[in-house]
Amino acid sequence: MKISLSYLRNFLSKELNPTILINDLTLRGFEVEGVSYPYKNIDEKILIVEIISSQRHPSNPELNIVNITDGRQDITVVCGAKNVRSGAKGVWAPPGTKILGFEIKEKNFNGIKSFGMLLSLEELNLEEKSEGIWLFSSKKPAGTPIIDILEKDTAIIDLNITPNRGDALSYIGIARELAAYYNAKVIPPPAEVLHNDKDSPISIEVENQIACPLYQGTFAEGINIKESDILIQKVLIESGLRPINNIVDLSNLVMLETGHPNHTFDFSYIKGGRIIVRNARNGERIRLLNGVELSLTPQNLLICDESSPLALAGIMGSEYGSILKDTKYILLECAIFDPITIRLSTSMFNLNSESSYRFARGVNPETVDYATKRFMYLLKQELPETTIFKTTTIKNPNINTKKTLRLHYKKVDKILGRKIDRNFVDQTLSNLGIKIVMQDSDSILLEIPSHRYDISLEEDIIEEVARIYGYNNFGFTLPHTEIFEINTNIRDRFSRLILRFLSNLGLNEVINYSFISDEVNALFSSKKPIILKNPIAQNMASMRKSLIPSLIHTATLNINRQNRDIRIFEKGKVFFGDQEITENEHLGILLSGKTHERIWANVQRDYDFFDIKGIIENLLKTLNIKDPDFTKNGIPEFMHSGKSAILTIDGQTIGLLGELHPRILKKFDIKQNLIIAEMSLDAFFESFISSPPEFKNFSISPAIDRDIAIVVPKDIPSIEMIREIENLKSSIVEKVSIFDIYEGSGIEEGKKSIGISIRYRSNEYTLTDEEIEKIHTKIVDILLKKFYGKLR
Amino acid sequence: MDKIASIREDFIQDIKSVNNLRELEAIRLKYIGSKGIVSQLLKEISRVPIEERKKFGATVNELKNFIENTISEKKEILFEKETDERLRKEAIDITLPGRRLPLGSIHPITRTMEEITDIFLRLGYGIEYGPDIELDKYNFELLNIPPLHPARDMQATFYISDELVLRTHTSPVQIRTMLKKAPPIKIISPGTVYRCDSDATHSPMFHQVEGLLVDRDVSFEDLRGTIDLFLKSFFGQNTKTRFRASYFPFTEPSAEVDIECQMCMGKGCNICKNSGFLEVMGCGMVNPYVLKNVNIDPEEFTGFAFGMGVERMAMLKYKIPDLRLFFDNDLRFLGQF
Repeated sequence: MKISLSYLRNFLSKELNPTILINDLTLRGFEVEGVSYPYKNIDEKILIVEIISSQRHPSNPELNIVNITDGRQDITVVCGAKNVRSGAKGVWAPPGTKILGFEIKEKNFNGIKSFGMLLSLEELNLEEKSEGIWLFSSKKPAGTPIIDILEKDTAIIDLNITPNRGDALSYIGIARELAAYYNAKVIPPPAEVLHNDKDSPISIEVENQIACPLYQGTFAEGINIKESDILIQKVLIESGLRPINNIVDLSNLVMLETGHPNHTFDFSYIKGGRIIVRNARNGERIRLLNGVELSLTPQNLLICDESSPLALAGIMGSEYGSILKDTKYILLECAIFDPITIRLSTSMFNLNSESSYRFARGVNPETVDYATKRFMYLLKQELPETTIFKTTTIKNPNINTKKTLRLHYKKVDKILGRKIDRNFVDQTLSNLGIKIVMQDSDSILLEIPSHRYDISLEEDIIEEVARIYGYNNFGFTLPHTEIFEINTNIRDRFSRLILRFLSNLGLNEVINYSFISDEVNALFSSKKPIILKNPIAQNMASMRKSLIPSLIHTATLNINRQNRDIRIFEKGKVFFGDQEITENEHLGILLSGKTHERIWANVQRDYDFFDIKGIIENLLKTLNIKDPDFTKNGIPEFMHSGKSAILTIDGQTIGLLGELHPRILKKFDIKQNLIIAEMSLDAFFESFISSPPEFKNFSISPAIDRDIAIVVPKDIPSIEMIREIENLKSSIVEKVSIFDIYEGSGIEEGKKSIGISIRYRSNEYTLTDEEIEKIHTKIVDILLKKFYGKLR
Repeated sequence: MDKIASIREDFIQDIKSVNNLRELEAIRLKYIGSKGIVSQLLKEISRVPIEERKKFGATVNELKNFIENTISEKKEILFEKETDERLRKEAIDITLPGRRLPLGSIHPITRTMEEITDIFLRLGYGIEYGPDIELDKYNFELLNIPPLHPARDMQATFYISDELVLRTHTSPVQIRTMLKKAPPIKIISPGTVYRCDSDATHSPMFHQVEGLLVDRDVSFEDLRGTIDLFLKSFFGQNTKTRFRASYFPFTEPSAEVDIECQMCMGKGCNICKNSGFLEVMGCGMVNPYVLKNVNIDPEEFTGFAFGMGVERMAMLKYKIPDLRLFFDNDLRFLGQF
């Protein structure tokens, strides 16, 4: 909310220093998000002028030739604005003035000389987009420099009002807050009205007194619609509202001053002279002032005449019944609407206004009458010829604005952590308008003022005390809580182990959004996706079921920026499900490009399946997860059928690895191979916690290595040969490894040569050649027989 | 005897001209090898008269020792010389880059989250996790934010259904913990959160660490002490903190915490919008309505809660200028952490 410090001054009994005030508001819950000086750069040569006459340009119907006076001489300007009106006052920039960085010059428009320029608010940098020039009425004579009225040092503060403090959405509200800080008094602007005794020609019926507990209607006649006084417009502009005409501007001014949203209707449109506050009928339609047409439900509250809706209550008026240029009679509505009713409608139609914003946060029922009187007072000032009729008030007799609360001094000390002087507590509350009704030795009974919707608990009162005491005047202590178990931190340790392992291997961790496009999501899993109802964009609508699309996304971005050698991983959640929603934590890895930097010392090669398999094998070892199996059963369509594997542990599928299918690369327009893996960390975690490392003794007797080179059919998986050796369960076979694989020249077509190295060692003694020879020969025989092998 | 003296002279002459180890070895063989001159001389002892034998033997041995010592000394000198020569020839260009393995990294969000977590782990807080897809009830209602409450505007929410949302903060983890455990409760909840906002300063997905402590006699000063201690450990011991009154439906009193702007040291600059301060956290005393909602008696127990955005903490600490860098994952960005 924008508050003009120069206007705010009128509401307080003390002059306040802006720097101190800004700091105190900020520290006490009204954050000042910015300070601006809107008139700082306005040229002193710009003057108030009066428009004498205006006529169409003879050769260009888009332009007007306008005669104005600056009090000393008549001046002619050519102006394209549609709203030029003789009799009104405006703002004129003579030639030589600088406007938004451009110098105004005398200009010739098809034979008519234009001397200077009539300005819009936009050209004065006071609004973003203007339609027409700025017009107003003013008691100041033509020729007065505009900066005499728009004072250069006028400061505007932009306040962030938290949702609990609806009472502060006005000049009086902010003044009330400041008065409490500085022991000052709030000076409410004058509101006395001399009523006509004539009864109002309007009858008011409120059908739903829950949604509208208070409705006040006042009729006035003799209205003359024109521009309002510059002093009124100035307050609106400084507060961020756009001047419209004298009646609407008054309505807005009263809202800004008092916090009471109010609405004016053109009485001549109110059929039957009746105002009916009722719920909408199903399908009933209203066309609002902003041009939007709504189809309503009984949850929406309306202000109607006998036949049609005049307003969506508390939110926005309809076009029908709104103030027009020729309005002569008005009805002023000042009412209270239930916050929930307002919010139901605003959220249903995603529609917000200055009015609904305040009603949704609570408006004080006790000052409705004051707001009405303030409007009428101002109306009489602006248009002395108007006649004001008796106000009609419909009030739900059951609304209770009196609220009492008991505060225990001890509780203040307990929650805040230090002893607060009782006199300070009493004084603070009284400054805030919270009355002490009764007092005993350790507590006080308080009456909460009706504008403080936010106070309903003892703690709310304690916050008020702390706020005024100053949060930064409290000390620093530490709680004495003793703590016992820390066992959930294993998951944190597990995560860190994986992060460190992979980053130390040279991989970069990435973090991607959890939502992706539904189309891409469907490529990598057939599970049912979870779809957002209100995504930011369609390509961010589906909760990812796999990390692979995220990794591809990162790879694509980097390849496009010539970062072609990629080794990345992501640890993140995947989501799927129907009735039951499942969230699993996965680990994804992607390798692409060259294994090493191209520098003099390195031998470069492309990443392949065995790089990622090695990473996974070592990761499993790090996590002490035993006996992983890599199989080709069930390789999904998006993977290369020959260069991929499924990872299983104890028969349970927990991941996959390998090259992406060329079809996928083509789809994503990627021109280099991607080696990927994705695994379930939840499954890893289960194994991790169930099998901590356990010491196994090792032998210090000497080891003997013996090699076998054997030619076998190409399709025999090497793991089977190793298992065959392990199955012998010889106590002296310590380790079997494959040191060479060879196909090609010298080896028969369809065959491969495998080099197997076996390390023999006894747990107790030094092995003899005979012992080794015996078992080694046996192994060779078995391999030859079982795998149709030949020694090479 | 003269012969011995002349051998000695010959040896001295010979060794003078030796230039390398190979020549030195030839000299050694010539004089004291098994068939060398001195060895031959010793064999001639039988021909020496008996009374002179003793003296002869001693003189020859003395000569042998002299030769051995001289050769050994010469050998040292030649080894040094030859090694110097070899090393000079082996010299390499040490300005060439080393054989580096690819260097990995941990994402700055994760890194910052760990730094925050570590401080609270040392203070004895436990870690709790919760689901990203959360019940509206836990994300809002039990936190004292009923449907249509204006505070819902503070957190633009992604909806999965009427009952399910993407959590807008990790506060539902606090609810889940309090429903599960009795006080004392002392936890932090790090995690991913989502809000339906996307522009230069808002990401639809970001990360938070929140904390909760519920026990007997926990006070606002305890909260202040904890936050101040934390911010000093995270940003440095000279960090100045400032508490501002604020509003959150789940805490009362509520506060926002600023640190003095580290760019301008509180003088006011572009980064802090001339205020001299930067907002870093929200916190407050747990609202009694929230405690009641999870069956904790607010007359017996009080508590505090706090929360911070991890990206914001990382941006301030590592001077990262743009939120979007975190989710672009450009390797040149990641490689800096």
